[in-house]
Amino acid sequence: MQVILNFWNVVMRSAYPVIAFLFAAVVSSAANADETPFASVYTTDVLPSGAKEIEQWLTWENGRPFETYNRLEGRTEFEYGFTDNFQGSLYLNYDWIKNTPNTPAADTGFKDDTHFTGVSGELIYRLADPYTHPVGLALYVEPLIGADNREIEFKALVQKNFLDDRLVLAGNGVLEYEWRKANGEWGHNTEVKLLLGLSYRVAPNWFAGAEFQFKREFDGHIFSGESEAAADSFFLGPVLHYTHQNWWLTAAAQAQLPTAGNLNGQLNETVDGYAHEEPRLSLRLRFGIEI
Amino acid sequence: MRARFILYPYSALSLIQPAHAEIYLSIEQAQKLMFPGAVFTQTFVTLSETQVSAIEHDSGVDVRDSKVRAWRTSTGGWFIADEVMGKHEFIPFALALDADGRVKGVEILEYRESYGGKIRNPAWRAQFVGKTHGATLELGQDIKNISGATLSSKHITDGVKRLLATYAVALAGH
Repeated sequence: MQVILNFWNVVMRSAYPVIAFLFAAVVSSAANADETPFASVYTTDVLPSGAKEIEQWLTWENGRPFETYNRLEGRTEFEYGFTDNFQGSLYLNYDWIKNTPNTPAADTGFKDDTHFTGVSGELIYRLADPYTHPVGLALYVEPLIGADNREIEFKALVQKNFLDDRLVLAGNGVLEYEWRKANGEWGHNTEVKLLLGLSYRVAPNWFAGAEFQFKREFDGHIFSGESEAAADSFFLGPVLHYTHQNWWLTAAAQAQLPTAGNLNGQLNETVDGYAHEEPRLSLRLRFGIEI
Repeated sequence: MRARFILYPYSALSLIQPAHAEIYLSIEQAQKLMFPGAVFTQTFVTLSETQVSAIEHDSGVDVRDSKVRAWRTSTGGWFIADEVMGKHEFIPFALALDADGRVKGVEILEYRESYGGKIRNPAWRAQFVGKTHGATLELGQDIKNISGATLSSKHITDGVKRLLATYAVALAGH
């Protein structure tokens, strides 16, 4: 119960101005919105030329071994369609973490921090439209710069529609390089991910589906000759999407599956079949509005 | 009987509908626009399973509703009111055929989708004029795509193709 109250307090404290702004925009805007039926998986749909959209993400992560762990991650994004096949966006990332170690095996101490994690840019270029080609294909790049972290993420986005475009199947291949500064030293990590999503239009304006994610973490940067696979983790959960003329809302849950793999043999890399550094449960809310 | 319960969530969800719909033409207005001065005789048809299969086989497009809302005109032509799926909403449209079954015009009656309203562009809709049953009617081939409105363009194109097959299978003999 305390976790829920904490979560609610943080949501209200950090998101109230954003929610108020978005609500004001909803009731005043006469324009329309574009969106994806997924919370984590990207489709190859991009904004048409000249279209603008604001998106708000909120992700709550909970549960890690040896710790009482809660993290609320926020992202406020502005998107713009440069052409009908080329979209760019800029966003702010921030989070709140409350972590209480429960046993000496926990590798992080007590933490109750809210901080700004960095500014990200995102470019998506669509090579093939799924409505005129057998399969939709797009390329994605996203750099992030923060005070003590850097990331660059590359994605290949694939989409196939069925049943008169009522059923959407999408897959993303992701390669992410990370640099994190700790005690004056920059550490290097890599994540390779495969995301799959399937969503069906269950009623006008409503999509319901599921998302799956596989993640492999590496110590070091792969292809640099100095990397080692650390752990595999798997996630699965439902996603529900509602769209109105000029705004949309997506809610999703992801549970970590007890099938994690300890790839480097290090103690506690996985615990009871779960990856140590990954949350057991995450809930995500995305809201978008055309401006 | 039990299967009816499956529809309850659908019905409940359907109550929450967008409040704003862009209505361009009523059916009567479209009839007057597409067949000025003509008299219309309602000739609604319910397709048999055999006819549905024939239309789907012929056009390559699914028949979602077996009811055909058609009017015979005093000029010998046909006016058909139908709808296709947009990304989230249905797009009602009307097809006018002359006495020989050639497309006389396509009108978008209502549009509620986020994007894709450019399908109302007269130059784009003019591409259908003169098409008959058996025409290719493929987006990117004989029908040009509208950039930024691809899904709507594709579904309207498929809708016209399906209705031309419907005309050949179920209306031409009337």
